[in-house]
Amino acid sequence: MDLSIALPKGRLLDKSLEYLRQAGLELKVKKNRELVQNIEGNKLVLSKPSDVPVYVEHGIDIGIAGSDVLEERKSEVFVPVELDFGKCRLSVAVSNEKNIDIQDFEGYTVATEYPNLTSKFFEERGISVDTIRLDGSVEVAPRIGIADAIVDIVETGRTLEANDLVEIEKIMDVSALFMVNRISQKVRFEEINELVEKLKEV
Amino acid sequence: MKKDIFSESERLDRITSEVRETLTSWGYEEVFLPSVVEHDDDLRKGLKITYENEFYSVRPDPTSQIALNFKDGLPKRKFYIREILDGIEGTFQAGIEFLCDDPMRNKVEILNILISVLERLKIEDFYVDIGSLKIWKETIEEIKEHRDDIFKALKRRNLSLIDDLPISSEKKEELWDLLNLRGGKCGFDKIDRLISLVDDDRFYADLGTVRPLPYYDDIIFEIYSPRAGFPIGAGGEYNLDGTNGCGFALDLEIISRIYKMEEEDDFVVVGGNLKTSYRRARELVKDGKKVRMEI
Repeated sequence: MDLSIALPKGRLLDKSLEYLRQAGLELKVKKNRELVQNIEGNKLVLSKPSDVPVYVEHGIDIGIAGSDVLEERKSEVFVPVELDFGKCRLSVAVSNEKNIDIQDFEGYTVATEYPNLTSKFFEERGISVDTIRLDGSVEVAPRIGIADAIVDIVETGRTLEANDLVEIEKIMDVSALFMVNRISQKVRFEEINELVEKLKEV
Repeated sequence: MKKDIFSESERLDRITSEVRETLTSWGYEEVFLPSVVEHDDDLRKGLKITYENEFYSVRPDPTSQIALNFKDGLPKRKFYIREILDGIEGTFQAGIEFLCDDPMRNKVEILNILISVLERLKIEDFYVDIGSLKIWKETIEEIKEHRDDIFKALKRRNLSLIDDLPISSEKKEELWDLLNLRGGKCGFDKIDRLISLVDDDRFYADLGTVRPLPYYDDIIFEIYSPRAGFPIGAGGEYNLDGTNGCGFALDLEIISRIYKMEEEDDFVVVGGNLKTSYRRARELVKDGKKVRMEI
């Protein structure tokens, strides 16, 4: 199809490849660590999940990533299909002993990989918090005393439990999204629409 | 304007000169807007600041700024070239606004000037998709309680959001079909007539072009090139106290990425004696020639 495709490394990769395969776009990924691979005329870019929307916004034709990273990066891309995997939620969690209501968060410090979504969530409620941006293992922050709470992805809740944290409010539901570059949608209208139609049926 | 300020400036200098000359040739006057204006809810974008307990916007969107200042007497032909702020992020834009009593002439003129500007920049591989907000408003009239959700879905072409709406499956299908209505003609007279009058096969009817900015009234368009991952620019028509206006804005930084800069060969190279060479150069410039002093 001669497309450029950005997919997230990590837990969403296998499912993303499977969905594309079922929609007729099979990408046999080389098992080496090459981050840009040419696969039968298509160019595959394997990136950090949070960078996928940025790649698609800047000219990669299509990509798959979670709705959490798209909302955080505020990338201007088309999102024709929500895919039925990568389901989880973005939530606020505090330590078990501090288990308090969101309204009492005034002046708290919140550690997160999602500073934009976190600020927006608290601003909409008129609550002033300090946000610390961390990349990964956010749940450690309250344990070592650098944050009062976290905003992070919750799938089963086991990671929170293991770190003595309790989920107190959901910010948003998260699922994998199929993204399309705004110009590619116009220039490659027929083939992208065909792929979208097939993805809807997967 | 991030890494190499001089080489990027050289490109923008060349681009803005070409754009300025083209727009002036079409009888448009440049508007020099103040950088800081009193904050007004009708002004879009800009960096909002407070100074001595008053609210201000720094370099807001010029279309709303110009529209707020249009007074009596038509037609009006204005253009601007400047940096626009959206928070602390800035982009260099060139834009034009045309107000006249004839709405179709208004759009035809604006789109012809658009072609003229891009061709002057030797960007021939551009396309313009034309949509209509009014067609969408009419289509969702009976389900207007979902208007915000529908426009959110349309802006992102998000079929899943439309699927989740509590509306009939026939209506969902109608919305999806309209979103995918694209081609040289679309069956809607206003768009088809406009495309026929512009008479350029780079123009498409595309109901999937949806940019519900507060001031756009009906026809909207987006300009793009396969060589740029972002739109080159966008525009549309608006209504200003009963008068029809139309305009577009070009993103000069996106244009800069695809603009092929050619060596300028229309300079007269002047050298020799320090006193006489500069005197000769002055006379050449006075006669409208370009000079490059030999060092």
